[in-house]
Amino acid sequence: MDLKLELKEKLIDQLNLEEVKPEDIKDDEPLFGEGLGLDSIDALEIIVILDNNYNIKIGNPEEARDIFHSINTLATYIEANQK
Amino acid sequence: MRRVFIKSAVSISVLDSFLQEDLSQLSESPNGAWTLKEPNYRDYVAPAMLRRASKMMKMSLASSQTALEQSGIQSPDSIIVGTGLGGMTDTVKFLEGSIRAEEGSLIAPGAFIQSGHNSVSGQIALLLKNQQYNMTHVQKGLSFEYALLDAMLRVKEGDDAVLLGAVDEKIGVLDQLAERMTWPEDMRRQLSEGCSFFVVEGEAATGVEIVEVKISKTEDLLSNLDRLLESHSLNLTDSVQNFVGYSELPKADLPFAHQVYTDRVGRYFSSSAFGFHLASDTLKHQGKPGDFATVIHFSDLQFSSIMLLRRV
Repeated sequence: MDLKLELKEKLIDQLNLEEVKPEDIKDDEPLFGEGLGLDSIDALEIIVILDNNYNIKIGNPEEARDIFHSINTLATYIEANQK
Repeated sequence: MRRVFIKSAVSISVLDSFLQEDLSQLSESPNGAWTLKEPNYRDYVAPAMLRRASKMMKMSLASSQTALEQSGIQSPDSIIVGTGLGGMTDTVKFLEGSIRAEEGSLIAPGAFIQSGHNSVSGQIALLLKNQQYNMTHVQKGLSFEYALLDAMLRVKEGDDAVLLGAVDEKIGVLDQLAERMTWPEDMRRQLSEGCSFFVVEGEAATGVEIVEVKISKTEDLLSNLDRLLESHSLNLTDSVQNFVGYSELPKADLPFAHQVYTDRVGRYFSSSAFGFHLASDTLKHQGKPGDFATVIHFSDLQFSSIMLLRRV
């Protein structure tokens, strides 16, 4: 499956975004704040998604701010760092 | 000493109680059908909060918001909640996640954050941006009574309005536990869930006054009930109605007229809050000044409770 689609499905499932469909999440729109409107607890959930599914650990919170910006930035980081 | 009055009351139960003006007029639930009658939570809770909320949290947010709205109070001086078991759905979700997780891996934080008993009072405070006194009482079948005692103390010591709630949710594992504890089938069948929220206040010209709440040894309950009423120059036979409920005890043969509220809404640890709401509505709609009602909750072999309400 396309990594971006897979990520959207995992976000919807893990973050209980009940009324959101994968096609509603644009690849380049911000996940936090004005875009999908995720919050700090969601950020923790995304850290768990990356760890459990892609074996990627985010150690530096400052780094996470850029990585979690959008589906595009998440997918790029996963492709570069997946073990 | 200030007296304590009920300003508003909202309950979600297996009966159609939400937004019901007078609970005493509710029709009976079909025998053995303990399905929660839930409102459309989207009408009461912001989507961002709703998506992460368990059933217990949804019930509590909708009931507390509505009780505040009905009272005209925007932000109470205290938020006090009683719950016997806390967030069971999230507790199970968190524990299952822990069991499945491999050594060294992370566990999703959402369920953990909301599995604490105080997550209800905490979420309400977050929603209201309320940084006042915030307390959760966990005392099995007397959780609501201890929360109520706390609320009364707060009002007597100067709080103008207290948001007081009681909530418990049912999950499948409770059926199995009740069976393992060899509960008789008629008690197991009554396992249920529900939520009640009230705004209690210190000043009222008319309404329903919370006169007294007593925790009693179960074996002494009837003598303590007589003594309590006597201290207020009241007689049990003059009561508008006596509402009786049970948590972990089988039904008793009682030597006075009464109505069993746990036969209507089922057994859950904080169900006495429903009995309290029922008594309040009965006095409010059918009582005249001076009339009183009792709520008697048989919790377990050790301790039970008596609540005395009076129409003013």
